[in-house]
Amino acid sequence: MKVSVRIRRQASRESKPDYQTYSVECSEGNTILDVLNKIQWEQDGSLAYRRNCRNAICGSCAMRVNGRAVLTCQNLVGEELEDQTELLIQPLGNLPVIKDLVVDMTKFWNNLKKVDPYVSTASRQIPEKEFLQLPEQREKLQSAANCILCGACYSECNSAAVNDDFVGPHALAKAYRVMADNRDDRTKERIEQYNQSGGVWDCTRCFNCNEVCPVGVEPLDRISQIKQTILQQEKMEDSTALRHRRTMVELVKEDGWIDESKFGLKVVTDSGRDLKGLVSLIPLGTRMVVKGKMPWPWKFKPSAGKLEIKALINAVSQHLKDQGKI
Amino acid sequence: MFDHDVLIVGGGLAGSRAAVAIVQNEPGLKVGLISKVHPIRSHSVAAQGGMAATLKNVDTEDSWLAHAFDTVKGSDYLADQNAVEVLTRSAPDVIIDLEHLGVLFSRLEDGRIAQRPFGGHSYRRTCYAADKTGHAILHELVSNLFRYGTKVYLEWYVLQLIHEEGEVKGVVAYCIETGEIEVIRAKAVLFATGGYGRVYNTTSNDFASTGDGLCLTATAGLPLQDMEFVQFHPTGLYPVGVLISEAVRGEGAYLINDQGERFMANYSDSHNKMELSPRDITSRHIVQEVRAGRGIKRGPFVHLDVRHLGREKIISRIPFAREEGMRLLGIDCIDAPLPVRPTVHYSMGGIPTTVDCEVLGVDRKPIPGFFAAGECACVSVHGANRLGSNSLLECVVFGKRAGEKIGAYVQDRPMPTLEERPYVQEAEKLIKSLLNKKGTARIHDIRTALQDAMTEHCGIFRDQQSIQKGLQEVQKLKERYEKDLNLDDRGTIFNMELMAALELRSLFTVGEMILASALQRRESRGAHYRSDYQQRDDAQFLKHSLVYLSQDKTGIETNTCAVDLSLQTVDPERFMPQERKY
Ligand SMILES: Cc1cc2nc3c(=O)[nH]c(=O)nc-3n(C[C@H](O)[C@H](O)[C@H](O)COP(=O)(O)OP(=O)(O)OC[C@H]3O[C@@H](n4cnc5c(N)ncnc54)[C@H](O)[C@@H]3O)c2cc1C
Ligand code: SF4
Ligand code: SF4
Ligand code: FES
Repeated sequence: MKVSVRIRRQASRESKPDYQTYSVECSEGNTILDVLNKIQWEQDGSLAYRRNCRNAICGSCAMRVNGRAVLTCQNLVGEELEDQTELLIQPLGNLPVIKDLVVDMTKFWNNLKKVDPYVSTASRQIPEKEFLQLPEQREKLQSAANCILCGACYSECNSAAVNDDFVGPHALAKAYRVMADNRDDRTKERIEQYNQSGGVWDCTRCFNCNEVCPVGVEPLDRISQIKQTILQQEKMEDSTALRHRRTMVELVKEDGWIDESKFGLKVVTDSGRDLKGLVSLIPLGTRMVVKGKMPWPWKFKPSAGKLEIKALINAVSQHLKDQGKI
Repeated sequence: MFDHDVLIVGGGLAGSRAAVAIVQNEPGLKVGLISKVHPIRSHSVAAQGGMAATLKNVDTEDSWLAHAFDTVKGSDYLADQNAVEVLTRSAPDVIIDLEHLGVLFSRLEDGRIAQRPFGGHSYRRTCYAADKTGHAILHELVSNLFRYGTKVYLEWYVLQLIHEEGEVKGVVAYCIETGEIEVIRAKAVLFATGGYGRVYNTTSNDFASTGDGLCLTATAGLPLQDMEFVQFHPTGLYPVGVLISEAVRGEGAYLINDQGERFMANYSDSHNKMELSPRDITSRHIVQEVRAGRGIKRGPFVHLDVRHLGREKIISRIPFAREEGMRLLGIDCIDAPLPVRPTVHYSMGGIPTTVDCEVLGVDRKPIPGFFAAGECACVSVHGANRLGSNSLLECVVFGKRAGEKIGAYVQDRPMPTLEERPYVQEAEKLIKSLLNKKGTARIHDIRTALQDAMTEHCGIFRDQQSIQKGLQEVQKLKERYEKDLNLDDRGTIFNMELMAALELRSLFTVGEMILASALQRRESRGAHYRSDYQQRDDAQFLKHSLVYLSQDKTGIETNTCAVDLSLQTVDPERFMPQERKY
């Protein structure tokens, strides 16, 4: 079949972007990457994109297809064309474009470095043989360890779009992977580190990372696991941020928000760094909508309802007003 | 010009392991690592099945000598036994090192590293991380590069090896993003540039596996060794060529022909080990079945059947293989068999080195300043045929060893002197001439023609006539490349066509080296099967072959050198060449 493919072209970092449409002979079972290769090999050698393994493991080929980040060697033309007549291919979001579909991932890598993404055993007695790790201890690291560092999640992350400090879902998934590893000896430092600004509490829980991750890392769930670990820390009893968070949980419970919306409970308990932090999310949410550049979760299947989120934001602000906090 | 004490070319398992070894042992050294793709995207990330080592966690009676014997026998006696000894003796330690670095190996119930059977290995000794072993190891190694702040030249392409006055002094490199050309000078250069699967039309290798390191070495006038030994992995998913891991057969999969037979039972060299026979034998039998008209529905493939393993085992042990079938063909191997045929997988040959990774010249003396490790090197632990699980092991053992060796070596080696300008000018000229190509032939067409020619004339079966035909065709295609190539992209920002044109040079050179080596080896051994000389001939050919450009660089010359047989003194009965039966 002939497929029409609209591609965002950009000759250099400074150039103005433009769209170019190609007509490609392919089948439904071809991957999106096959289609790009066909264009480059047969029609237009100047098209730039990254790819290497063509087997969903090297993480090179993530791009936006029909407005949503995917691994192009994983997704099939048939799936993507479901309710469209045209494929739209754009570079990943939240990262500067170098050329066409190639983005500069420096920030993505630097953010990863910020979480100290390696298992530290420096202070442990290194055994002559392997450290023991039971299958169940390993199993809980598996989903985070699946990460191929493709950047799809970062591209769609609401927080990364507006918050320069946020390290991003990929980095926090890795953070969980090393923190929860029974061989790692820096759990305490890590908990403090990930509790800082730019860490887990800066996630807006937009759910996009879970939606787009091609290998089931579900970064948001990993972020929640880090949060739970932080909240369970007895030794941090004195930190004000933590006290605020505890109060918040109590507040919500007393006021019966649980009944109002399960989602609401999660947002408030998890992403409220403190009351001020929570309030700050509201203008942020609005900013993103106004800018019109954020893919809201309802664009994705399955979607969290737009109204639900709006209602939630309203409810939070109303509640805080009632409490005389703003 | 940039200066480094050590410059590592390649960020796969071998290159990354070497870098980590250097920074751990000699933190004061200025190390640079250059790679045309982000190290984490290197081909190593795709390795699936595992890595062999006699940890004895499962089979307590295993020993390094047993591992060595399996390796030597698998190599059809062409492996250097001193190198095999280093490989197998160091194996348990390097696995433990990786584990301590944080690699997530699959575990036994008691928490120790799990081990599974693998083709050609007589004990359960393959350590693995489900079926993403390369991913598990490479991600941890690259994290450690981050940790130590190693200078990485990301997406830089090495254009030339600087080899003058009998020593290696650095490389000329091209920045893919900006088009900048730089000479990078170093006291020692380590090549860890991987394999060349892209010389053929069906391969499990990634797009970057174009044999650049081999081409650069040959172009510098240095020899390559045992290039005729190209490993075809028996189970490439048909038609795409991606790998269905050997672990799938390790777990008990069947190979079935159109008549529903497990045909491996019908051949004398495979009826014992059946599907777990070595790769060269299994690949040949698949092709023989297909040629005899017993491919599925007479097509060019057979079936790999795992249905009898049951849903649970398939999902827990070989999830990636299942996912590949579903993603690429829409076949769930729980319900239906997968179509497979042999796919080019591994380069046994490469840059000849000593067991300390020093590169050897035509005169078999080490070239000062030049080292190689991993798939691009030929040390040789795989001889004529590599066993599964031995390549990751090679990368880690010799990557680490190279790092240690180089760390000590550069201590009393001065920074070489060289004149930068001519190198930069030559590189500029090369890039410019490519950017000015205004013929009629697309790169893709020339490349495909080359890959088809190599597959047709120097594939699983080859003979004198086919090889000579292959050489002629490559010659013609080279001329077409010189005279009639066209590039659409004439810019210097992330110009993928330019990269492809450079890589195509590598494919030509490597292809020619494979053909020339295949021509002179008039016997069949391991992965090299000559239809016109079907027997192994130890009297004449129990030797490594060497191939290099002639002095004036217009022709190709070949030579041979001896195989190390030192383990014969340890165990004469087993390590003396004998017929290879399974
Ligand atoms: C699908 C698959 C599965 C496999 N499974 C197994 C397994 O289970 N067990 C096993 O033992 N082996 C396995 N292998 C083999 C093994 O993965 C490889 O042999 C090994 O990973 C090679 O590693 P390397 O470090 O030598 O090279 P690579 O990982 O290929 O890295 C090469 C590096 O060199 C760089 N480079 C190359 N040319 C240039 C240039 N011109 N300029 C700059 N940089 C350059 C690249 O960017 C890259 O970083 C498998 C192979 C494949 C294809
Ligand atoms: S978490 Fe998923 S989407 Fe994000 S980088 Fe890792 S693999 Fe890609
Ligand atoms: S859920 Fe959090 S981390 Fe994930 S995309 Fe949304 S804001 Fe980013
Ligand atoms: S090409 Fe490697 S993940 Fe798509």
